[in-house]
Amino acid sequence: MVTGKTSKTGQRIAVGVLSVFSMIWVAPILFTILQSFRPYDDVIKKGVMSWPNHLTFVNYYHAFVQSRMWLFFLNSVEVAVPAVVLTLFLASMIAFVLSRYESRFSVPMLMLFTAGNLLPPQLLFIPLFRIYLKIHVPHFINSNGLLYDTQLGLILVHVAIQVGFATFVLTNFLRTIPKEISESALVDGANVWNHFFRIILPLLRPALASLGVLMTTWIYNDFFWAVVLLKTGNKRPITAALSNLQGEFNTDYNLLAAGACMAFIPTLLVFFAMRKHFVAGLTLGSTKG
Amino acid sequence: MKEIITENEVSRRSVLKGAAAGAAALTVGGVGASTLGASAASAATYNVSFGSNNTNGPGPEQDAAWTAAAKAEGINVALNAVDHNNFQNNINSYLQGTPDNVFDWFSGYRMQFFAEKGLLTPIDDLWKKIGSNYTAGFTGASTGLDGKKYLVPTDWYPWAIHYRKSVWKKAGVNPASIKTIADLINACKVFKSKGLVPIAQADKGGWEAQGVFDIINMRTNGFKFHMDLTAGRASWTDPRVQKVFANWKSLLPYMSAHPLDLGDQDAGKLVIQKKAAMIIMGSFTSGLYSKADYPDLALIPFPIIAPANGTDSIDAPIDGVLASTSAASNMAGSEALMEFIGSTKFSGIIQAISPGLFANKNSSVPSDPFIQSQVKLVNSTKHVAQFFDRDSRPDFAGPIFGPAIQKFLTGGDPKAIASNLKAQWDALPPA
Repeated sequence: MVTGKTSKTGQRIAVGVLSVFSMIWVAPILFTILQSFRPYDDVIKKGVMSWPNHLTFVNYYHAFVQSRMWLFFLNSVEVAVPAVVLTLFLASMIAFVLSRYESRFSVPMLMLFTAGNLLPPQLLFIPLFRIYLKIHVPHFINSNGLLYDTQLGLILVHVAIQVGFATFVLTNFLRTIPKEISESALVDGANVWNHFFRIILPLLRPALASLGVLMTTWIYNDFFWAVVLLKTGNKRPITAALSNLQGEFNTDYNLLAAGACMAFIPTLLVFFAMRKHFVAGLTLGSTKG
Repeated sequence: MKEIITENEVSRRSVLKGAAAGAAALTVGGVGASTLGASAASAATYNVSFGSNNTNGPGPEQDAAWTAAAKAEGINVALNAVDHNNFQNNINSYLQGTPDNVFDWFSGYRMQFFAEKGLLTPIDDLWKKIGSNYTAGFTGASTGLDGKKYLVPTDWYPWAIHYRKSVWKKAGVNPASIKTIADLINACKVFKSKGLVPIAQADKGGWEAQGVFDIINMRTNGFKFHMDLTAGRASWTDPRVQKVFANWKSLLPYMSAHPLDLGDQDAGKLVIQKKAAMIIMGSFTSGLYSKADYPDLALIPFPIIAPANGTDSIDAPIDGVLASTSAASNMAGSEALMEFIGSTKFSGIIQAISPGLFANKNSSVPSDPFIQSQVKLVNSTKHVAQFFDRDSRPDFAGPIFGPAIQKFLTGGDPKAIASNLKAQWDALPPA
């Protein structure tokens, strides 16, 4: 049949185009992985584009030891975990109010949260830097008594930035859940706290899981704030600390590639462990009931 | 070691030469760094924070070694190591935030800029003690526009033509025969006929070719004009600027065809791979060489263009340590640390891990022939400039001059580039 045939060729073309694009997308990553296994001397002699003579794990060993990978990985976890938990908690509370207590402020509020996402973070850097130098914290948090150069400060920035998007997604998700559930809870005499903690929060669980995965990768991958708001080298997360492998004049790119490959392993693990949630997270709130 | 740098009239400091000489004269038998150890061990203990930008290669090992030695002398160093690029990019917020007492930085305009902004603490008292360890050139490079001392210089390196001896030998070019730019062009023709890129030229970062501009300008118009131009006392529309571009243009056919695609390492590697015959670069290019290839590396000065100037000037940037504003409340400790970093003990520890040239004139010079040739080069030179981006305003060298040179290398009209540079210099806010 004619229609069947065209749709089949159409499909073939689509697969072809998609394959080409995915190859383009994957190529630099594969190239990085290949470089990470090549010894420096080999690349210097024959050039980056040459076919490798032999492969080695020596870059990984040096990158791990030289860059003190563990320390910086733990720094990343110390920032990402509290930031994600706090973001999700605050955003689900806001989403709850915005979706269940309709008022004339709901829509403007939601727009405000979404608009906040559109501000480039670079624009906020100077004022934030000045503010952080003025905010004093107890000395057990930072020896020089300022919010600047603390992991707490970094967590707060991430929460402030991510809450907007999380609120937007969670509000839309809650709107897909029948209001009748809430109404019957109110009829049964649940107060606001019970309503939130015992009805809404459990219902939000799938959305929170998806969003949690997304935010973990985003915050883990952050480079900008870590570089500008932390002064102390040892407090930096792994993304910023990777550049420790770069030198003033000469950089061993094979070593750097090995470091980068190690740094993306946790993101990959999170992704594969929670793949289902990840995909769900991307389409979250896109179908409004 | 003999006086490495005999004269240095870096930018606006020429008027301050008297002041610098005075400070040096005051130093009657300054405390030799070697005597520091014994006396300080029994003295007070200091706690000092130090910002290092040395996280790569031998950096961490060197930092660990010298901080341990400092501790033995009663200076407890809280080391804060941040990678070089980020350290440099964030220097503004670093110094205005909560900077470490003492930190790694550069001499020249890059130091004066922050001194003028009040972000550094002068160390004149310390210089009265250590001044005799440095030649006039280093003393000048450590002095701010206000005549006060800010820097304790540590190490330095020259810019020159770097090449592989074996490649030149095979092509039949004798390095000693390159006296004038005409000789250089003839050599380039030979290399080109053998299928080599005569001069590997990088300018991906926008700074690499600034070294080439510097040397051609100093050879063509002399050291004084170069310093006047970088500091803004001479105009970019001066006809002498056009001479620089014209001379450079005569070399362009022998330089890499697409310099904007090459970083300094990429170009350096072309020389190592024997695809290019030479590179005009700082001696740090030696860091790319494997142990086997290193003995093959050599350098010659950039040849004569105007006979009156000979080969009397080069770029040889100096690195060192500065005291931030936070040092003011910890002056004794900060000065003790800076004195230690300026000592021969410090340079000995660093050299034991990887060889290099140190500013303290009492420090030993490694016997390595390549290092020796760097010393010889600088000793035979009358004037030492820092480097374009260290001699000129930071807001001019990077964002304005860098792209202008990139434009020149991609076929831009030198006249238009020069008048554009003048317009942009004039539009800068007063420094």
